[in-house]
Amino acid sequence: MAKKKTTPTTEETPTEVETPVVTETAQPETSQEPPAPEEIQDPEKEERRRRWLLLILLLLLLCCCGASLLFLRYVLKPAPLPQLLVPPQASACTAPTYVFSINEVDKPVGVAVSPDGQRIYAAESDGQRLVKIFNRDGKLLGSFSPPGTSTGAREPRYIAVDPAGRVFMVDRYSNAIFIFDQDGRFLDAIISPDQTLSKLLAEKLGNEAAKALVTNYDGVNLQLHYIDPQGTAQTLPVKLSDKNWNPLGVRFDKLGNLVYSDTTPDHHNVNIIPVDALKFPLATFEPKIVSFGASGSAAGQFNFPQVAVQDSQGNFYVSDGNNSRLSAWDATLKYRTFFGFGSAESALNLPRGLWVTDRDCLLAADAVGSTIRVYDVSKTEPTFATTFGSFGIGEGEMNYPVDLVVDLTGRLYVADRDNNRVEIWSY
Amino acid sequence: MKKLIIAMVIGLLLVAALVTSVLADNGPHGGFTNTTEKCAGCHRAHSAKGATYLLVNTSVEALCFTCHDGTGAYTNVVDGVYQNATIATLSAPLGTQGDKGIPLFGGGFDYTSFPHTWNGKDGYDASASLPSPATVTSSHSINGSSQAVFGAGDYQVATVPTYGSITLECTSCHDPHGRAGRGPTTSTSTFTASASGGILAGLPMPSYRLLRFEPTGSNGFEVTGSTTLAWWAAGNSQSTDGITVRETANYWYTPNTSSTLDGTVMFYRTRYDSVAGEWTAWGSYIAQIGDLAGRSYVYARPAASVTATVNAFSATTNGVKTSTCKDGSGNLPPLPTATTGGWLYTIYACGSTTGTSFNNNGTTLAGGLTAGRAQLGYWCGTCHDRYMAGSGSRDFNSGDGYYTYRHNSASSAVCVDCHVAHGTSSVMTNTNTIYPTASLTTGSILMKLDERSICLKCHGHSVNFNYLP
Repeated sequence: MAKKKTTPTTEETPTEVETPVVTETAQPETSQEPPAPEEIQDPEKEERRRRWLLLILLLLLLCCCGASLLFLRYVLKPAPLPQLLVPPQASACTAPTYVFSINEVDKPVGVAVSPDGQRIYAAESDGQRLVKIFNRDGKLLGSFSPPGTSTGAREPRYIAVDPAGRVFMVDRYSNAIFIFDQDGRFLDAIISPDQTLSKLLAEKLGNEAAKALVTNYDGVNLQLHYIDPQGTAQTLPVKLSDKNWNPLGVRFDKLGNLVYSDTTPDHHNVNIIPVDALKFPLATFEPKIVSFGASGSAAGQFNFPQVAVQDSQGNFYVSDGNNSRLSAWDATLKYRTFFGFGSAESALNLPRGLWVTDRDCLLAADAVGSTIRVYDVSKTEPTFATTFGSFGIGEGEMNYPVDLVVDLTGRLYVADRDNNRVEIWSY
Repeated sequence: MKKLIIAMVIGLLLVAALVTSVLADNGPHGGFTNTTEKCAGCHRAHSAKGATYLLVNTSVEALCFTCHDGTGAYTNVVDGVYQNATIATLSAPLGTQGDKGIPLFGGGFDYTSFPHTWNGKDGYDASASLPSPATVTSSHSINGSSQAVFGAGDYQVATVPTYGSITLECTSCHDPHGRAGRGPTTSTSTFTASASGGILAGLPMPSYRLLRFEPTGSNGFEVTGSTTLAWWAAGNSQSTDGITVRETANYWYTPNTSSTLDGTVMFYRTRYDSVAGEWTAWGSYIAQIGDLAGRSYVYARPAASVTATVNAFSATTNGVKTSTCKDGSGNLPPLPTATTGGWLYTIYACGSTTGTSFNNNGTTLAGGLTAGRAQLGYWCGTCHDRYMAGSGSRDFNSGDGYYTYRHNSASSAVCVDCHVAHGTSSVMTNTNTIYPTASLTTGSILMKLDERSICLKCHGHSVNFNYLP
């Protein structure tokens, strides 16, 4: 409050002089430097900066979303990081999705499917050792086995279905490939590279052979038991040529040729019986068999080859069981390379059944690894694509998967031996 | 941003490098080299599915059956057949492995295909054929469960028998590592034996069917360094150069003082002398450590013809009969010769020195060691030790209060003459009905033939039971 200041007079008592009261206020410190000139605002530059900031924020947001998805993916299905990330050029060979399992089988070691996909065949290695027939829903339709055999006198292993729907089953006990129709009725058996039961009967009975009924083939004692056209039980000693064989795995290639693996001592190889030789009846069975591979562990050799399959380019792939690898052969049956061997995720432990999809994805049942490994064989060099299934008894888990097959609808069937079931997956 | 991308890529590469798995290659039995991957065929260091041995499969049995069911090996022990392509002539007594469908000597665990019913004919029957496989009626249980082991247990003089229990797996008797163990990993060379039974040259042969030196024991071992070995007394475990020789009641180790085999260690079977109150050597030596170019190996061999340097006690001295493991005619099994190589060992019919060779004679495998029937008798006796008996044991008190007088199990009638090792499909129905005390157990007791007809193999006709393993 300003005090009023007055000039004192002689006679006046001096009055108070109002002096302004200065209220001290904080004064900003001022730089000693002279103030900078004002910046000239560039709207365009500002706009660009805003856009960059927005872009960076957007990228950060995308990264966060990606990380969240990755985390979610890991929570749903834990796996090593490389498996979680989708490579820039994703292979067409992906893993299928588990659907359900057929449990009415005893240690299945072979699985096949009819051309129309309506029938699934599973060969058992335990229990009654039958080949069981199921429909697509897993309902048991029937079963069959080599005629007149007891449980201990049959050892079904790999099976395959030809384009006409006939089931070819390797029986290790009789050392033969038995052939049945789609309902399991016995048709014939290939008992050596140049001999069938119908051929034997034709040689014995001539034109009457078709009326004979095979009741049992004893591949150990080499005897054929049959009912002759007159209804009398007969036994025919079987004398085989010197063409030895010991079939293990069977498949059909794209042309309908029968491809079987042979484990004759010192002659482990893969053989192809031309489709022309498989015209029924097989009474004049004289196939010109083409073979490739040899016994051993070197390149181009096998140690208990399991099955051989063919891709769309005509190349063959063989599961070389005891050598723990797959080998690739070109369409002229010239050896190319082996793979699935090494110390990586793509490595196989004990490859058994194989199948090639129409996308040239090679699926290999890794029995000891309890998983299915998938290789992309669409290019010159096979490359590992993915793996699915893990050890266990739960859904989607496996314990010693031995064989597998994919039908035309994209369904995959896996003979999950030690879980006593056939697993069904779907692409 | 660029730095962030680079950092992410590096991080991914690092993660990928940590993801490893193990590979398996070839068959797993032996032949390990310094670049081997075979271990991974059966084992996993971190992700094993079977306990104890860190196996890839849930159990030893399951693992072995992955191949030995015919899909990875010719010896199909599930069905008890040798499964390859050679067309069997079926014209010779069983004994030639390699014939398609021929029964394995040991039988099978689920099925067998050897005939368990005598066809009643004398002599070789050329018209006979292999029967259809039959379900096993008794077998050595190899699923890891505890089972009784008959004719074993503590020695005692009481009249009540005791027997121990044992848990068996495939690897109790077979060494899945083949010859690897601690022995050489080089391929087999021809073994040459001297007339005196010593080792002249060559390397230890792979044991027959990868049988261990002793059941549940090691597969032999390599002794390096000094060949002058200390005297090892019975009942002790001795170590030489860090390798322990395992002592069992059946084997006794002593350095051989014979001039021809100086520096070697001999293995003898042992038996309990109830009078002396101690375990002593019994019979001829059954194995030896020899010195070969500074390396020595232990292996199992048939009973030798070399006179034991440690004299077994005699009946006159100790009141208990001993045996020198000769056959019924007092002959020792012949030694292999330098010209034949390997262990060619012909077994004759019971009590004779000539005649039809029974099946399962010790045929020389290609460069390999044959077990020999007598050797297998000793071998089985590692566990079933109270059954072990030599010639004449039917006449003399063994000192065992229960197994007092025994059938010869040493040479002329060894365990595998009557029993199989894996499983049999023979039928035994009268054991405890007519002769309730005939056996401690019901069932077919791994006998090759139905009921007691196995006795007829030696005590009846000059029968060659076709295809009997």
